[in-house]
Amino acid sequence: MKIHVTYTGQLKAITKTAAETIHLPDGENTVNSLLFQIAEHYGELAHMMLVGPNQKTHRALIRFVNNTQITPGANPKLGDGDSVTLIPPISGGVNPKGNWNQILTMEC
Amino acid sequence: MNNQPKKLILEELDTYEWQMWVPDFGQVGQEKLKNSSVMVSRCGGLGSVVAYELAAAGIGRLVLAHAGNVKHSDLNRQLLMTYDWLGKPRIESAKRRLLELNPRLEITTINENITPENAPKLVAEADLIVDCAPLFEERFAMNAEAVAQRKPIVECAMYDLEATITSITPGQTPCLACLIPEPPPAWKRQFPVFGAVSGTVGCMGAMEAIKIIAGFGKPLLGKMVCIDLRDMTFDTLDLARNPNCAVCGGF
Repeated sequence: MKIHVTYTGQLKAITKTAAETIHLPDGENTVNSLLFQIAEHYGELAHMMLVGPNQKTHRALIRFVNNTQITPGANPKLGDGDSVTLIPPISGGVNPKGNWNQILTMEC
Repeated sequence: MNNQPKKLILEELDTYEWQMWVPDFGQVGQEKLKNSSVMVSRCGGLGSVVAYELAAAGIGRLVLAHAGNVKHSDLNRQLLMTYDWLGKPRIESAKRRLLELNPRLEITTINENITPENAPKLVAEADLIVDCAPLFEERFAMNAEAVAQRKPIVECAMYDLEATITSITPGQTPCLACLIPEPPPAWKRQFPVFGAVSGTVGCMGAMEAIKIIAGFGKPLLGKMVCIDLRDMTFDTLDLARNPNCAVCGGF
């Protein structure tokens, strides 16, 4: 089964491509199984972006199947020729300690 | 208390003559801008340009939140900061620069970034929010408060040469938490940025705010534009509300 995948943001930087065709094994495939395959193929950084410590795919990844957004946590089946767009949320930084007193005055 | 909408004065009719020629905007749209207020969360690479364009367009009042002092590394993109203001509060530099352009503008400033504690008061002071904050914690706090107060939000974000922008009408379109229910992984404090990229998205964010306030054109309600200036691609994607959204799923 061929799936056309488009990456943006940090995923594009990690995979070093804006789009590619991924071959999934015949049988039942879902968005999550695609994400696990991408994570396995591209290694640690991709795994960190796509899969959480509990071995579930991250909900904080905006996903589209055939240009229709799927809600966080949904895991629709994929068909041959489907296109999937993956958009990691972008912003200007992260607060590593999650401390509001720090954020209040942070100079970033 | 006089709640009558303010009319344009002669100086404003001269200043905004060319944009009042824009079809569907006109003098009626200009008066709506004059009688409206916008809260800009952070006046960095994005927010500086949003605030500057709104000041240029004749918005009546800006509410600005941004902590910290001006640093050298701000000056490649934070266009309201100046070399002679290094080491001094950014929010003062922003106010000074905006009033140089538009002395009629009313500005409320706070030398803090957004938190759940200060968000309610700041959101209450504005008709519309433009969210340009770099941290997801700030964005989530702003989204939750704006949704609670039913205030429209323009969400702008950028990374490297890429950017995304969408506009939110609480209860009608997906909110930020519908799209991103939890902080994303793997984000870093440092991020690659050209001022021309943040400025591009800042201009688009300001235009979204102007369209929503004046009621013309087609704002990005329920849509997200994904931009890559590396190859000049602009894609518009349809977004979906999350019926189980912890912030807006209840209405």
